[in-house]
Amino acid sequence: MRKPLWTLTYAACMAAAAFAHAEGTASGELYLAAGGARADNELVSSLRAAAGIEVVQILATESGDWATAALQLRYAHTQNLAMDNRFMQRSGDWGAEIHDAYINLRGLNGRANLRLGRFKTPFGLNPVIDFHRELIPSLSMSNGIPARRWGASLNGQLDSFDYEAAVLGGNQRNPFDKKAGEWTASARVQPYSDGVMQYGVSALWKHQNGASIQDGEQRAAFDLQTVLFAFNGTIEPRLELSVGQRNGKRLYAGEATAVRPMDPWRLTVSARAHQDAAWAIASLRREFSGGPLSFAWEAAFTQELTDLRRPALLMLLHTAF
Amino acid sequence: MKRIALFAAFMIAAALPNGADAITACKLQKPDRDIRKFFPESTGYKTVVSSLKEAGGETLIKEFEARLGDKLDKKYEPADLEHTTYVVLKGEKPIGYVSGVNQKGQFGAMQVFTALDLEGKILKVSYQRVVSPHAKALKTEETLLQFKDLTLGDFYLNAKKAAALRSPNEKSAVDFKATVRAVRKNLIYADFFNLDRKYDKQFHEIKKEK
Repeated sequence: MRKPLWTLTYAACMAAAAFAHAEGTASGELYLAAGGARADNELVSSLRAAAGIEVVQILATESGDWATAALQLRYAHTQNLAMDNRFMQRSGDWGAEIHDAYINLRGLNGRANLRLGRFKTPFGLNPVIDFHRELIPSLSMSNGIPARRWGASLNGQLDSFDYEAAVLGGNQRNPFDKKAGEWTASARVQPYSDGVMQYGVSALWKHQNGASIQDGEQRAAFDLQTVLFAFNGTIEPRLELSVGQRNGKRLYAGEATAVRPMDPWRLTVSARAHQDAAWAIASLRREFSGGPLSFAWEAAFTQELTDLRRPALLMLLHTAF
Repeated sequence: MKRIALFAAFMIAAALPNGADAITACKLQKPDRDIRKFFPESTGYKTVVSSLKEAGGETLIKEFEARLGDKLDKKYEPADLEHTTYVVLKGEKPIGYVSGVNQKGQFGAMQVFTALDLEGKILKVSYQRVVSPHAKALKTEETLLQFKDLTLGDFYLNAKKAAALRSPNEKSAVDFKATVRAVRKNLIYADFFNLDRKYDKQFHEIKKEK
């Protein structure tokens, strides 16, 4: 089935849900990110402009909520894509993007839910932190892990831990494309914590059709978030580590980040590395609201540590309404 | 390119600083588990989203502030901020309410949740987020059990129980005061949106006395 048809089908389901007994939120956004980087002694620029919508509906009957449905779409113009400080070539066309499009059906009072559609791969900090409105994507996204895919997952909140185990297709856009050639199984578990420290462990297995079981890709990851008190305020450290192999080649990735809220600003510094390169990143963000609108500015400087000729500067303006 | 330039100009104009810092609505991050912890006998819950602005505009906001005895903070408690109530069910029968509010603490935003029975009596108070070096003391059972069985009427009439609430230690006094304010806010929301203003009688009594 073609992508616009999927979008329309889902939009129709969402509209039907809205007319049924449903609570939820709907918001729109305008997103503008621009960047510049040095690459091979040349200056490369990137520009990404998008208008999007996000709808989250909670579906209920007399015996309570039975599902959550989410749709997040963007109509975007992308002229080169900034990933860390490597810019990927993209033509400057406008096009529709589906980010989230799923329904999560509650089962056993939230202990065993079934999620169907397109959603975040349960691996590392990717499903825990919302990077949708931020400038720098998570480490997982820039390290070959698909951020979102079509598929199904079993997920739940048990008394002592949360879990999600998913099977995801290989085609970004069409969930029923048998020629996509690969599929991914991924799972993440996060023990319950009533304190500020939270951690999770994840595993991922990517399989290529026709390849032997040993080929393909396997990874394991550990992630952690907490809050520390220092310098008359707070510092929020995050850590993400993963190891594995792809077709016999050793893979590793790690990121250590510290976020310092400095009302009304937020300073983030991080160091990330994977098997091919390492980066240092610093970003400054300010969020504020005016009436029904909320705004964010963010500027980030990234420097590739393994190749000092590759600095990059990125900027973001985001408006939500 | 012209379209992009227009888009950029609009975004820059829109993003000129002209308001308070953004804050997100206070919802349970793990509602399934948290509701079961508050009400082990529950079989489900219904999520209800409302806001003071939508429910009654300026009039309701002023009524809310009169009952709180304080102005709402434009940054942490804007009038259009969505308020989520979980109506807890056993089968199809409601057995209680859970709701939470944002509250400015000494070291940043706190999120305080209360579980109420159908009469508006507090069954349990808990923090979803408390960023404070004194968090451990604030979260002790001894501290939070002080709120058990209080109603909004106790806060209005300044009865012995509400007046006897004590911070676990001097260092956490600012955050504890913020917690008391947050609990009172939760109770007012419940009275407005779930209890058909059951405790307004006590509020008007105390107003007359003054």
